[in-house]
Amino acid sequence: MSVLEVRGCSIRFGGVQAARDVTLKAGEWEIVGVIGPNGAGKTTTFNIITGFYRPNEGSVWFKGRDVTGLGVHERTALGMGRTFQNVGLVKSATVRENLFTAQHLEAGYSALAGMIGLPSTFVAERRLSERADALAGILGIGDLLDKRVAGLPYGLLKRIELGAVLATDPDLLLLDEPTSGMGPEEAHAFGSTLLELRREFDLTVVMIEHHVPLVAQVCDYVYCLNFGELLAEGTPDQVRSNPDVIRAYLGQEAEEALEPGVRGVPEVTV
Amino acid sequence: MSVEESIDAPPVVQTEAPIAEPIIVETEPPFRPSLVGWFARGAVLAAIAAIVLLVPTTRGAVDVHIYTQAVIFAIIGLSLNVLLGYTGQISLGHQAFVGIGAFTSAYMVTVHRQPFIAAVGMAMIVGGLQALVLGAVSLRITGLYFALITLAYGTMAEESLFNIQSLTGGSAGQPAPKPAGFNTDLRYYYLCLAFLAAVIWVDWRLMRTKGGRALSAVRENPRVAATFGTDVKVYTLMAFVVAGVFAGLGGALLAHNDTFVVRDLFNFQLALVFVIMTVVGGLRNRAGVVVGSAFFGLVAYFFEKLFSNGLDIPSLKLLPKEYAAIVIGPMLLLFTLTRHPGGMGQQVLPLQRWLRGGRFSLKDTHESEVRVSDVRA
Repeated sequence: MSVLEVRGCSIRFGGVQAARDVTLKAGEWEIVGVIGPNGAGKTTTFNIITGFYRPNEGSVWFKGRDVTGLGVHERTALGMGRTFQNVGLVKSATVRENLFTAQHLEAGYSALAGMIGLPSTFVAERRLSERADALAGILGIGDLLDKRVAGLPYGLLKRIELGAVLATDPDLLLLDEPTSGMGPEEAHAFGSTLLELRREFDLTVVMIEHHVPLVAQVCDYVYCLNFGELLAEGTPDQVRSNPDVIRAYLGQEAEEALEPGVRGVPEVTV
Repeated sequence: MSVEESIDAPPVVQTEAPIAEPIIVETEPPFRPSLVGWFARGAVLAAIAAIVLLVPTTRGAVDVHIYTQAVIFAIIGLSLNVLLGYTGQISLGHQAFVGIGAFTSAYMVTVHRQPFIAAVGMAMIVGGLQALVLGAVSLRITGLYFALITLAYGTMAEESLFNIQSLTGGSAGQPAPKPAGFNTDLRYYYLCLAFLAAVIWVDWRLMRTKGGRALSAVRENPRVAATFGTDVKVYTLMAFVVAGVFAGLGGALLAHNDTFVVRDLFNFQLALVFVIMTVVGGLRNRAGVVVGSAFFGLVAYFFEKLFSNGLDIPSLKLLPKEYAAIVIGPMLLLFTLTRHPGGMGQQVLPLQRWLRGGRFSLKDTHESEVRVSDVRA
């Protein structure tokens, strides 16, 4: 059974067709890559999956359930976790506070009980604190817990954000450019981390990614979008050598300029 | 929102070994005060408690009446802080929030002969409900337009609700006797202090549990809050209800403090004072809001005393005492916005930190994350 299924989703903003008939699938335990040039509709697709946008046509299925009509927080409750391109954290709060905030649905008490200060909520808070510590330990950010998020370097923020999303206890992790701003070595290290995390937390992963070596390293299946439409899909190698994909990334002339057989298939790094 | 006792155990994280390379930050060992240090802190706390609890016993009934007003203003300040500070929603109609509480309580006691506690409870319920209505509007309209709606709401309440003869007694006003057992000003002062303590408790627990964290996240970034599983609409409404309940309580206590409520009290000028005292107190800073609001509760009376006791400033003497807050307020507000965005809370922060067992330092009080743009207006 596939964990996530996007069935023929289209969305228009005024005259702009941001996504047209996008269909993609992610099976259990799979790591699925979504690639494509800037403006291809990758983040739009993510917004449709997580519920920020309602598609004009098509539907989103999560764990065998039609979630097209559900709100963002309801999808989080079902087990979707998502990171943002520009870091989805509460910036004025500390790292610890962020890990607590992300455990909103894990708290196990109502807001009213917390407000009144029922003794059980104190116990629950301690448990959340232990869980936050454990997560921070796993991600190696234990020493940063009391730092304010605003002012920390971008690379670290990405890691903290990952911790916060894991704190929501997701089954499906949607990563929007997790390695942006990272060098090739860091990106490779992230790949290993991701594989470990998948094993540890039983995750299915869909990620928008530009580092092609990383995509080749971790992804089981890749979708390539262009101008809001699905251009190609397949294993990383199939997609990488697909002439349409190369054309989309480098343009018509570039493809002609490359003599096949001399240089072989160019490594697409955008 | 139901009170759930049961706690689902969050899934246990299996390994402790870091998956990603840990980031090591060298930090100083935390500061531990000596025994003498703890003793000094205890002494200062005791002194503050003594001032709050004992000074009114040495004063006359008129003074105590004003101190009680200061305590009630602190409750109202905390109410507005939930909206302005935690949620980032402005309310320029808070006089209506407070006034509705005041008239509900007076009406329950005088017309329906209900006991004080039932009347206050009803004032809190009605306060919460009317805030819920405004909250529902805030889901559709935001920013400056919402500020205008709240302004209109306050004026609407003034012109229509507060003119309902049976509820408010019209221009004659509605009597609101002090409750049995608390009928002296001093006893009523302690009662209000107890209510303030309860409000501070709720406010503290709110911000230390999931509700308050959700509010902060919604204020800063609703998209992130939703991704973390927060129902943005529900929590925005919750903030309004909490603010309304606090304001209803404040209004009820205010009514019984004066033993008589007149509708003229709840005008726009009062709403302005409420906003100014909360901002000058320091948004999101509990101690600051309490100190700031209490200050504005006292200021008019202080000025009267100051002038009647011989400080002769001819041009200022013409100023009626009700306007003192309106003159001082903007001056302090300007000072707050330009120099001290953390308000009075920023000034009391070193003391707070020290009392909690930290080192005393005046440094680091500028880290205050309060920005003027915080309020969505």
